[in-house]
Amino acid sequence: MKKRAFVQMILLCLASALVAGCASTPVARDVTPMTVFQQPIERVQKAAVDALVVTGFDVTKQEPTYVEGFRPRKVGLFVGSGGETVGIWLAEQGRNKTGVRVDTAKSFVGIVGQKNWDTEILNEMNKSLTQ
Amino acid sequence: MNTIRSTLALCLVALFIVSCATTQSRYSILGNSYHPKPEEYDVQVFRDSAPQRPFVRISRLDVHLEKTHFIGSSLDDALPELKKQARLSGADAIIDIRESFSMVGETRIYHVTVTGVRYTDSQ
Repeated sequence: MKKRAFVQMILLCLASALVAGCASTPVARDVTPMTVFQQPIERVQKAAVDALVVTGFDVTKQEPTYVEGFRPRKVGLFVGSGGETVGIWLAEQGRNKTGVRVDTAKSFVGIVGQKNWDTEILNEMNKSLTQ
Repeated sequence: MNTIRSTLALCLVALFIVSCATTQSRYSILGNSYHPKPEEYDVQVFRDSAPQRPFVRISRLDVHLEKTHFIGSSLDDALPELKKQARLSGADAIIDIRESFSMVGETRIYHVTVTGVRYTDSQ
């Protein structure tokens, strides 16, 4: 009996660790208006990476037209934070003109402590590009 | 029964210790890249001024600290990591310190971005 309870406890710990490690995937929604920057796509992509770093995301994908980041989870007394995945899509719309879409995907675990980062990231990109 | 309690306690302690604070840092090169400075090299910090010696801006350094339990962070907490990133980028000193503070729930967020510079009269 003792052994069975012990195994169950271990399994519970493992399951919690696995679930906590799960992340959801951001989606490029056509209904979201595109933010346009009057800058070449390479510069906007760099600004997107910088914006993710400033907002505490680990950059997990870095492609010419797509950047993705994941915020590490933190356990709190009442509510933790982190676990969001952000996707940033870039589309060249002419010379020195780049359209950007941002989407924050919240994961099932710890959703109470998660927030939508779209506006912060666009603001950071704007700040970085106007410097 | 004691074994179960110990395992549960161990799991909880591990969870709290490992994940109630995070530190993220990086450097990005602004132009030419340079060899890293040795580990014992003392990077100078200019909080509100610029070096008197001639210099060139070589890197952007970012350190991001997050702590739960309503515990805040400051520049002093970030300095060791900033200096490490500065050394890795080959910088002699850091200038243009830009700090930001925010909060999500009980997580306090501190971010600092600085510029790494290299003296041009020592090359």
